[in-house]
Amino acid sequence: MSEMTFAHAIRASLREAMEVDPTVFMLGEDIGVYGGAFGVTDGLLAEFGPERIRDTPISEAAIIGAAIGAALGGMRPVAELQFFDFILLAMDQLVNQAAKIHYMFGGTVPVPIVVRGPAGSGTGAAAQHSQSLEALFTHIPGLKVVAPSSPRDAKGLLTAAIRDPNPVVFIEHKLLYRLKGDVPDGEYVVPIGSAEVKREGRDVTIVATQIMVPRALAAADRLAVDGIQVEVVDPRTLSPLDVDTIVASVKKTGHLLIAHEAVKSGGIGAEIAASVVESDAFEYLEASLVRVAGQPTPIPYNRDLERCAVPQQEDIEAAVRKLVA
Amino acid sequence: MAISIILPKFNMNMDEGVLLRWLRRDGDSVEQGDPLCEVETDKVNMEVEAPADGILCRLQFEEGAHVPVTAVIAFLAADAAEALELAGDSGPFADVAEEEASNEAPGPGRAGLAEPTVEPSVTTPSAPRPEDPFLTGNRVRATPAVRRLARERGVELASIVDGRGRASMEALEAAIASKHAAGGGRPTGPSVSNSGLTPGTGHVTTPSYGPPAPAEDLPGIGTVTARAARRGLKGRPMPLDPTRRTIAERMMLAHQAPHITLVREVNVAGLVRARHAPAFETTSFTALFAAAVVRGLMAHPLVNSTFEEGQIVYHDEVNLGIAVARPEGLIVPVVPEAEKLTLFELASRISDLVGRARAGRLTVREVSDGTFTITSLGQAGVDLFSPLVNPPQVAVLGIGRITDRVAPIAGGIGVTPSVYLSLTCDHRVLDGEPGAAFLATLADDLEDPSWLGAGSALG
Repeated sequence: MSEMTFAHAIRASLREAMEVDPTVFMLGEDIGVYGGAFGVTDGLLAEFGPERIRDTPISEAAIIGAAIGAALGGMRPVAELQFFDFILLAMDQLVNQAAKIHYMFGGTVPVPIVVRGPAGSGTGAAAQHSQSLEALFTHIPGLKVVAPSSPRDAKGLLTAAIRDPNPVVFIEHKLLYRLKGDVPDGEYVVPIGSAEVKREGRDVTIVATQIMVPRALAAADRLAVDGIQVEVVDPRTLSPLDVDTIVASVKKTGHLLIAHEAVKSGGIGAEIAASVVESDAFEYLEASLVRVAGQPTPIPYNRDLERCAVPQQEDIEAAVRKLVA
Repeated sequence: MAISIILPKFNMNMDEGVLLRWLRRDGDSVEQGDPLCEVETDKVNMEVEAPADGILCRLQFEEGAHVPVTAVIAFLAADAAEALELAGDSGPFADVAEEEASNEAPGPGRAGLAEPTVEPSVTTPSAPRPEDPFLTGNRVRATPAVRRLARERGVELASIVDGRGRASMEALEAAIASKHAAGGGRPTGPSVSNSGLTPGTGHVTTPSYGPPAPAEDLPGIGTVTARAARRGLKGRPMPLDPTRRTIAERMMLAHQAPHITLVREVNVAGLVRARHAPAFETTSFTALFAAAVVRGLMAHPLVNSTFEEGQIVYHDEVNLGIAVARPEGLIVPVVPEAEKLTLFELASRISDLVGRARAGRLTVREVSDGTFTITSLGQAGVDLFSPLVNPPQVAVLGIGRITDRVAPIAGGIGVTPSVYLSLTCDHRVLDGEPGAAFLATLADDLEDPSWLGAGSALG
């Protein structure tokens, strides 16, 4: 066990995967000499050489298309997007090709690609570099969507994603890159599709994703002072969603709050809410469930406005107090 | 057309009543005005009368149920055929629901013309409306958790709704606890006295519920008290009966006023001697104090005033409240126009009211419109206490026990019976000095009770 940042944990997973599996390689914009826009791949070029750490032209469609082709040829490519917003240029490759091939060829052809990169707001990167677009991918059958919140989960889930035989969209929130945490030494896997109870409590369930997990945990600390015991569940994988863990928690607490940074309307919170209401947890709800999520606005450049556009710790705390009042 | 019988709102503060007893049974023929059931409201018991002649059918609540005001408690069929038809309906409230459904689907004759919504008339029990869409089974607002628990525990949601048609988890948990407590039927005598609570002291217990039972005797209670357990509490929730709830609400209201309490020790040697005279043998000390208070109030009208809507309202009459302790809770019957009575008339009225208060046989009028209250814990052995003013009254007199106390007498030390009087004033209206002046008048009258002989009216 050693302490490292979220970014280092991802690099450790990439390094270990490339050490043990010669078919694993990376491609993306400025991932080599520059080390990636957020430094995630820093040093990997020196370790693994330009064959396996491949800088690409500025064309996301080409990056994803090349990754798909390599995967069909037997490789396990990990494609980095400089900002997740740029995936929109490669949606045809991702949605119409990567997600479909396994099905359209009767399950005979796996497409083991990982598409990973930074998402979310909080760095003053404005409307085109700060979005949380995960709901676009969770809507597509054939794509798995992973969104970890801790260094340990990031490393274990990325290893699982690289080993997965089909496309995995791996979303890294920018503000989490510098978050430190304990990470087991050596290779290990956190299974895709498994949520984790990050904190146990009896009064309210908060289902939080990505940067909302540390914010929910901080809010839970403050609420505990007043005797409100919050349970924090991190789905970790948004598709497939581990509904059972969420349902079990809601049945225990009777109160559900869902927190995510992405815009509320049509967000993953709607899917989580509907899954709970469809389940037998419905009959345990003691109040309407609550979503705390992004405002319906492009992320503003102005730092104060940017902060207002997405939920903060105090928003979660206030919403919990209202929920259990 | 059958008539639905609703629980009337017997007084302004009433949200619900406990259906104590059905006086008539399902299928009984009744005449207009016949009492149908007895209902415990805030402190007093009332009867619901038949609004018309007919056959009583489809009783909606069991005895002991907490029933919200305006809830349909039964139906009145015009004749036997209709009673049979009603009895054959698919379930409780079915006819109301059907009526509602037919209102919602406009027939060919009135397409596009919405029926005016008829608000239930909550104050006229004699004219219930069968089409009232109020509080039918499918209109109760409740969370899924409440619906599940109510179903599992067999509690009718309609029986626990509040004034806004909502069934809360708290009300449900209370109903379950009460259902269980009522069903337990445990004897109470020994454990009540073990607990040190003496009936009649103003400290209230609920003897009919008995001592706390071991948890294994309470099926399902673990889940019922889950909320309390979350806060680290263990215990058995007990719903407030209407009396307790009224007291709780009144006391909270009273507590909001800025209170001062003035205390004075009064030598009652003369009063004790006077009471030993044959004429007063049967007159209680309470009546003697009450008589002195009436005289004092006539001399100090501000103390007899009430504070209502930001105004001081003076009263020509003294409506004197006498606090009476009962096992089920404090109640304050009122002697109206006490100033017009003689001492003996006052004594007899007090004795009658106190007796009926203890028997639970007071009418709403008899506990209303007091202008001043006296309360005594003397018989409970209390020397001195600070009572709370019952709004809108502005003062209350607390009377402690009469006992021999050491006192300076004629330059030496002697022993003489005395009593502590405590006057609590609502300081918004009554300052210390006028309160003290009233106490002084009272003390003078009690220390020198020569006025007692007069057979004329106190005022």
